[in-house]
Amino acid sequence: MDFSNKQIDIEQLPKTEQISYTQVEEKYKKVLYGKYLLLLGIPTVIATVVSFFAEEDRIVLLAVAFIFFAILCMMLFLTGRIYEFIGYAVRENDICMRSGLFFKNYVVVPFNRIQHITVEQGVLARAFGLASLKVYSAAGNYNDFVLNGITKERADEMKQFILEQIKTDDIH
Amino acid sequence: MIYIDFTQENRLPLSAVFFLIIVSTKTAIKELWGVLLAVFVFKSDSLNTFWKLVIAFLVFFLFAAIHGILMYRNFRYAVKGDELIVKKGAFRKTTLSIPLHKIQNISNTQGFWQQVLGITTLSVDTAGSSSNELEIYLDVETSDAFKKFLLQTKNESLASELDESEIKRDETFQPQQVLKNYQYDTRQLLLAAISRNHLRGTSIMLALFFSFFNQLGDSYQRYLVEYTWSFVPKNASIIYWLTIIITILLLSVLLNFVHTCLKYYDLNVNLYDDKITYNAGLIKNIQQVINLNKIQVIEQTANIFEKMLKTSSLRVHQFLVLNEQAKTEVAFFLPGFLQSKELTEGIYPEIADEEFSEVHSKKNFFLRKLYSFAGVPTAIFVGLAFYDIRFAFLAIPVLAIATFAAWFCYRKSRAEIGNKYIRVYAGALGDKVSTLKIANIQSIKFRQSVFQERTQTASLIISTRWRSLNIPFLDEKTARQVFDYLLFRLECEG
Repeated sequence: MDFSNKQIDIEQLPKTEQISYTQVEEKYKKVLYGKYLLLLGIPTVIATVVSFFAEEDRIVLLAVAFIFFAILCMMLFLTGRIYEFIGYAVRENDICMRSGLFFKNYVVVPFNRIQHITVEQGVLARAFGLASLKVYSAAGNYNDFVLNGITKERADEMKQFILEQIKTDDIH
Repeated sequence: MIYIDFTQENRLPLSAVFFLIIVSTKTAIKELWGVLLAVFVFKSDSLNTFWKLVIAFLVFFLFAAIHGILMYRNFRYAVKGDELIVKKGAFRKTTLSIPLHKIQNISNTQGFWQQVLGITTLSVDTAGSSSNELEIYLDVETSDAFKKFLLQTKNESLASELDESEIKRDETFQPQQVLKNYQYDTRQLLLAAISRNHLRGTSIMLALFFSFFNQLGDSYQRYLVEYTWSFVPKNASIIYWLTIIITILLLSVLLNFVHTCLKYYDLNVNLYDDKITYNAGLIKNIQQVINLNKIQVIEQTANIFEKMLKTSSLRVHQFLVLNEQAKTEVAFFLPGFLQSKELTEGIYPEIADEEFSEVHSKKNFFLRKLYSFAGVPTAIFVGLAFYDIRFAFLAIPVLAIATFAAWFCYRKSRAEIGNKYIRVYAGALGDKVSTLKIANIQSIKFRQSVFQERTQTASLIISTRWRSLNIPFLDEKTARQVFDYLLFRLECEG
């Protein structure tokens, strides 16, 4: 069941498969480590400490701490792979990115569909001089395009570039 | 035809005062429920329940009356230049000014009380992000005149921005012709009412029944026990319970039937060149005008009843911005509508001679659906089987039903892709066909899980302004081709 269409030769279309994605900054790995340590490490420590003082349900608390610790270990182990897969690319008419670990997502937003762009800096990212670029299309329910782990300068550059592209296009 | 100068500040008709008082009662209940609570909690020997009720009623009525009259006194509307200016508010006054070119839809609604008083609600939807929905209560004649005036002024202000050749074309402009008109005759209305989903009605009925029973039980527990058991025979047979269940079912069918008949009484859908008008309802009359280019997705669904009766429902989703967040809503919904396909083709006229090419989901989708339908129940039953072997037998019907549902899901999951339109087919026991314009797509996502990677399949998620549509488990190569093709279409034509 190959997809075909009479008027356009499918083979001639620009292929998303051949895009060479640029990797995000090396420092972003550290941000990811920090994020997981904060998100999963703190509950682990709290559950462990409380279990020493608790009179009842000590085993349950220890089990919870162990589960958090196991997830933390797994995430720290997988951070390298998560980092490696994140990538972005700018083409003539659209902006692309890929991300994900168990579900690999490739998102493409054409320039003529972009509504607005924001550059944000979290606490952790700011410590490493990183920023995230968010591109909003008019797609109703949720925001797909969030590119983390690029430097503030690069984010501003990209924002400026996209804004210029939008100006020349008609917005839908 | 009455003449009113809308460029001057106008007040609402006097009959609107009564309606405003009724509206204010709702506000009163929202604001003053604390007072009601205080009156009942406050223990006093000199006041019995009757007087408490009287006091509460008086407080509410006073508040509603003052609120309503103040709302009436403060409400003024006028069209100045190319802006609609509305002053409103009871205790907190606000002035709204809406540029006329921002107005998207103007619709009339007439509820029960409004029909009695002879007024309609004129609601103005704007594309702006910060303004609220605006509602003006006018009598019928003024409402029509004002609507006409607004549209006229809007066109004039738009025309003045265009060059002269455009205006010349406007002068020769004919009043719009109705391309097609759809109505429910009696037979069609009955068909629509019968084919509704009665399960929902039943669940509402049951919920009402049980909550009523619980409330009674809380207050009159002692009496209730005696009362209930006097009705239930000591050794109630299965026939007794069956009768009760059938009665509830019949009641819910009746409820649904009445609801549908009231809602779609005198339905009138007119299709114009660039818009659709919708008009229906007996107790609450709704009129709507929808621009064709605001329509995002058209869904044609058919549940089991409708498939048996060979009809289908049509849901038209439009896009509206109200408040800060994008609000999406069903523009209108036509149940048991015989000409669903025809109306879809009327809205999207090019679809009739569109060449579609099909893409199907791969067989892995069946397995995935089977796991998600049957996984958890089967695991539970197998776990329980360690205690009692009979639970293992319960897993068999669950598995059978899940297999059937998954098989139908897999069979129906496909998509048709053309030059300007996409059709996505889905559904398990019923049918669901979503039609959308490629130009309305906002962004596209190519998604592949670890398992999909192994079996070389992928899903496509197409975001429109309304919602995302999913074409699951395509062959990876096909998915990539569709992905590239859609992007090409988006970027070429814009």
